[in-house]
Amino acid sequence: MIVDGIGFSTTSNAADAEIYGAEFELQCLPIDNLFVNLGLGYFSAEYEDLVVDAVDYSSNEMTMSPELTFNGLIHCDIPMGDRGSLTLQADFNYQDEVLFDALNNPLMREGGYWLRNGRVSWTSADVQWEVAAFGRNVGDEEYMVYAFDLSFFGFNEEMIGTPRGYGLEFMYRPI
Amino acid sequence: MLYGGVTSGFKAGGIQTTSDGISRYDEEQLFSYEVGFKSSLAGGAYASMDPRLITTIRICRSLHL
Repeated sequence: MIVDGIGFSTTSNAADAEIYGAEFELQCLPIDNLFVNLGLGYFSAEYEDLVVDAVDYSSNEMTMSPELTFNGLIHCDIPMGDRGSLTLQADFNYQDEVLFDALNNPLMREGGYWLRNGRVSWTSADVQWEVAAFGRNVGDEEYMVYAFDLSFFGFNEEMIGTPRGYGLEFMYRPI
Repeated sequence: MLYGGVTSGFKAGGIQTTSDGISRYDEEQLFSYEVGFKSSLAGGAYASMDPRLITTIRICRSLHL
């Protein structure tokens, strides 16, 4: 565990900690050319016994440990004979609240958020050419990936996740 | 297919500089176990699973000692 203070990060031992979790995953090809993947995760991570510099962290939640995660992906191939094939793909990912600080400081947390991505591509019949358009974080979700409590200096440092983005890809495979 | 695992891990301790000078921290020990279940439409061994529907359930528990 890391305890922040006066410009130093210090490693301290937690005498006891317990983590448990469960995952459920479904992979499925319901019809030809369609692939679906769904995943659900439950996770619990707690310090059982942790006292550092007279501060008691016992039974606090561990950092970066979302209790619930959920993800899914749909991938669809549309063959078009001589004109190649089209591929459509969409995926999403949900992460429950995470804490960035072993003190479980309410300012050092990020609530649950969804990220959604999409991609459309065309591949030539000889599979040498591919053109793709993609979008990442298309819901333009604003979220912190990490934060440091620097309130000692009068501010907190927050690292913000990648905002919405779009792109194009061209690929040539010399065979 | 039912599967399971028991894992034990160790990470060495070390020394560090802090605002109070030099301090040391202890090693870490981990004990972890998990059970899981993987099934497909027609059943069968993992390598020959029917790809049309595969379900996986996994439960794990770790203890830092």
